[in-house]
Amino acid sequence: MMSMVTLRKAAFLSAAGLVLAGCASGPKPLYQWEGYQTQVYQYLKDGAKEEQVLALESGLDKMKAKGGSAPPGYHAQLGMLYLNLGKGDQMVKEFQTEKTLFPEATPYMDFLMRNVKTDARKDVSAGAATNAATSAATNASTKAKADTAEAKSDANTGSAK
Amino acid sequence: MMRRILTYIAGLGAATLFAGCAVPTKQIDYSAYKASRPRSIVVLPPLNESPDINATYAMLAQSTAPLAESGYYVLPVALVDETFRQNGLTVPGDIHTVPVAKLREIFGADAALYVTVSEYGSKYQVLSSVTRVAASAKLVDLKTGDVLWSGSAAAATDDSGNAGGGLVGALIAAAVAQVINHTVDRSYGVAGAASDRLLSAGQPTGILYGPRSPKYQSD
Repeated sequence: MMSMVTLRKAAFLSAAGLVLAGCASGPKPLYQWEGYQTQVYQYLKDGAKEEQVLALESGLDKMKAKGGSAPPGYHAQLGMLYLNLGKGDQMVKEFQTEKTLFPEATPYMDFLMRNVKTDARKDVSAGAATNAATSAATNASTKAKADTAEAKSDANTGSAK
Repeated sequence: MMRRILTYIAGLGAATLFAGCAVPTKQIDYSAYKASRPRSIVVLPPLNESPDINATYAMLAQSTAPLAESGYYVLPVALVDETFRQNGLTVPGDIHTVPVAKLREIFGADAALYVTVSEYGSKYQVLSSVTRVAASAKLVDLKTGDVLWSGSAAAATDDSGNAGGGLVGALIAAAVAQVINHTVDRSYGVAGAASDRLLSAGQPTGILYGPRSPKYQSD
């Protein structure tokens, strides 16, 4: 008897919940966003900065604490920032995580890693970043983020032209 | 048994009430969309018709959340922008003319989203200022080049606090509040609301739910 009452209550509550979900607010978000959009915006405006890495890393800690899922692009963004800071190994790890969480990312992540690796034969990380910094001067855009840009582009097999 | 019956009743009740609040007067032809069923979307850097140069990046940064919460994988937007730069494409107008086959080859995405920002920024009026962002978008199948969906939306600060209207409304509202608190800039927050309206599934003429949403193929 008790369990029936509970069930009935549960059924009512779930119905009510669904109605609210339909009309007003949303259902539970699929992802825990933390500062992803803001960090991406900062990157696009000002280039890669150490603070962005710290913000995204602390976001990951919060996701772990709350049991949330990282949104699409989160690990890839962090990986790119790592490369900018000369941490190529950590970039690879983040790109792999992006692929594991989202197999849809595989072709693009592989494309990026191929380009970084062929470019920096001697050293995936520091070397690439330093080389890039030099050649970045020739780039019209001399934002800090040009490091990554060049590191990835030099060996670009698929030009978008 | 009892549980199943009650679940059924609950479901039925919800469905009835739900039907009451949304009037699906869809005038969009979704047949190509439903035939294509894209899983992943690459968002191209938006065209900017406004005088504010921040519009492109603000919309780009704000485009991931509504699409992802609608059930799609969205390629990392900043990396995509970077890849275009490496290939000498720094102007959205040029990027939007890249052949779909090339986009598919590089990004491996099922579809591309082409966004145009028509208004972005604050207008100072006699007694107050209004920050307004308006944008349109089209979703294109990268295998066929077919347009799967197109739409437009706007948001402004004089709208009520109800930022979304879409399903990620609460989420975006929180993000907007956060952003304003962090004084990034006001237009950026409004761009989030506009993007949410433009790119959330579950609206009469909106995009459809993607494979990662529990509501996939329910629309």
